[in-house]
Amino acid sequence: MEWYVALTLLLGSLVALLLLGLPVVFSFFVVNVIGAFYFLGGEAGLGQAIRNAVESVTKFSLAPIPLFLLMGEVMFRTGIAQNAIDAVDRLISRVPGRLSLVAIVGGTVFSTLSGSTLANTAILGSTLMPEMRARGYHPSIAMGPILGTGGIAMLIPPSALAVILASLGQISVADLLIAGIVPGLTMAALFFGYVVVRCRLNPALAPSYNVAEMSLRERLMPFVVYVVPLFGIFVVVVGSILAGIASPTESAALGSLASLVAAAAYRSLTWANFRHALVETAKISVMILFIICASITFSQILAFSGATDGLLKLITAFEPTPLALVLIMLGILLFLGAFMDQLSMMMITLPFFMPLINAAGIDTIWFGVLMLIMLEIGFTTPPFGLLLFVMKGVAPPETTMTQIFAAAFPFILLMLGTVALIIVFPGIATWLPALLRV
Amino acid sequence: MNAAEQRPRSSVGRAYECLHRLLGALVAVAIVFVTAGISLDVIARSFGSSPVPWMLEATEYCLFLATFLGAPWVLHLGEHVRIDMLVDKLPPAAARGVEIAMNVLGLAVSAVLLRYSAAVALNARADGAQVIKELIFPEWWIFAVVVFSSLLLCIEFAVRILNATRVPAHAGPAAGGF
Repeated sequence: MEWYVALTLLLGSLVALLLLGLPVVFSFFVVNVIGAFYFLGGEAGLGQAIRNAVESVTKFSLAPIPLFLLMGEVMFRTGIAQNAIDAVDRLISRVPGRLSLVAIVGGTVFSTLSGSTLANTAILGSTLMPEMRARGYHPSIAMGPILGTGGIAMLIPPSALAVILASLGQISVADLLIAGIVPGLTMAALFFGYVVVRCRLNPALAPSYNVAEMSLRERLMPFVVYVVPLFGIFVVVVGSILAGIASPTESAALGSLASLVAAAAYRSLTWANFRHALVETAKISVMILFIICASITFSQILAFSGATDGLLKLITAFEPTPLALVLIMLGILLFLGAFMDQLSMMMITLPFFMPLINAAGIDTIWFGVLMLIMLEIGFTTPPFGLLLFVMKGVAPPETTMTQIFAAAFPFILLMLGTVALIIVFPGIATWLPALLRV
Repeated sequence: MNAAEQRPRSSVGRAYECLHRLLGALVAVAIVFVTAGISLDVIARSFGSSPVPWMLEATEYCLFLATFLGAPWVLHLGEHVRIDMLVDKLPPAAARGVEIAMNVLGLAVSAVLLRYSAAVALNARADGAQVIKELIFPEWWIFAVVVFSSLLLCIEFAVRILNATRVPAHAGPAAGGF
């Protein structure tokens, strides 16, 4: 079978199954079973597929996925995140687009504590949307920053998606986690600047209102009490990696333990909310890990069918420059993001992307950061952007999907702006891990 | 409330619900074990104690067990991620037809996993293959978990097919549960 026929059949049947509503993991398994039988030697191939499935998740490096998710869930369910956002709310006084800025700063703070984009959007949406609505905020300036901060959560450690990408793409987990910090803060600064400028130019977007008069102490104390100690958790996660005390997996376990200790210290940890956090973590972790089960076999089938090699030869025949190559890949991710979830996108593209990246001598950490941002953009692009639906769930009932996308659009452009900045100034992504590696 | 949350009427149904709750609880316990085990290991190490030699492997097996024991539970809850926007736009009868067809496909692929995981387990047992690392045990134990998981996936897909054929077309997709 010619490679392009194999590629079309494999990817075509996968996309068809996904669109017909078969759960993602079973869509991959169907393609794997047929592909293993045809390309990996019949029954022996199927036996190998079973062994691959076991091998793919029996990996210490994947443990941060449930652990980082648990951190976010504990923060969310125990109300610690809510308290932190309230504290940020008090800190920011009368400025244009005040509540939108609270969303960005609060979202950035929560990003240092949570490894889950969905938890980030859900907590900010449910906390700030009602007040934004009551204050007459235009939907574009109310929902946009909340959707945008998901990108920050994906970049700043702890980030479950960064661990999955690093693991599947065979990139250093520690380096990719550290590399996301400066781009995440850059993105937050761009969002902040955009909201201030837009609300100054058009004050009707975010009508100003009198914030309750409070003394400096009243403004600062909640931040000192509810936010500053939480940075200890970030220090535990990132600091333990940097100090060489712990591997990324170990730092994730310490972070989860620290979040539980923090919840207990604030006296907000109950059996009911701990159980709730644990069950939600378990569901999402199983869902992700089971999809990863299909990863090795899917890559093997693509390789054995000649599809990987054929496509790589075709692309390299055009002798694209490294920059052109990266732009093509980012374009493919932008396109796929409109239709697919992040895991499927990674599973389909990484078997092609990583050999090309390595052959072209491109820095894998730098590319990993760019890919993370593109994956996050896929979370917010219609028609299948998951965050759009999360926002629909927490927004006022009359809010339409078109309004939500219109709100997200400027922030998607700002995320693409961050991508452009990282391409022009690669140091934004590579400087910190290189500095800390020395 | 989906079908998985409804109180089952038969004793078989109640036992099936209990089994899934147990699976969910085992996944939760595995996560707690990984969190506590690794943390205590790192803390003990930083105080000069030697690390627990089998902790790394135990974590890996917890991830494996959580994945395969949790997969049928998550399917039962209807929480495996899927793209349902196109199916949602179909007329109810067509959507139900597609739903049943996809569940049949899910059942078929789970049956293949069951068949070949059983073959791999039996081969490993016949060969007397052992996993020899810090923890030593027969290799077929691992594949027996995959067999059990695949069997439960088959049952859950079969239940979903039965439920989908029973409910009226306008009632939307059926979840698992008796």
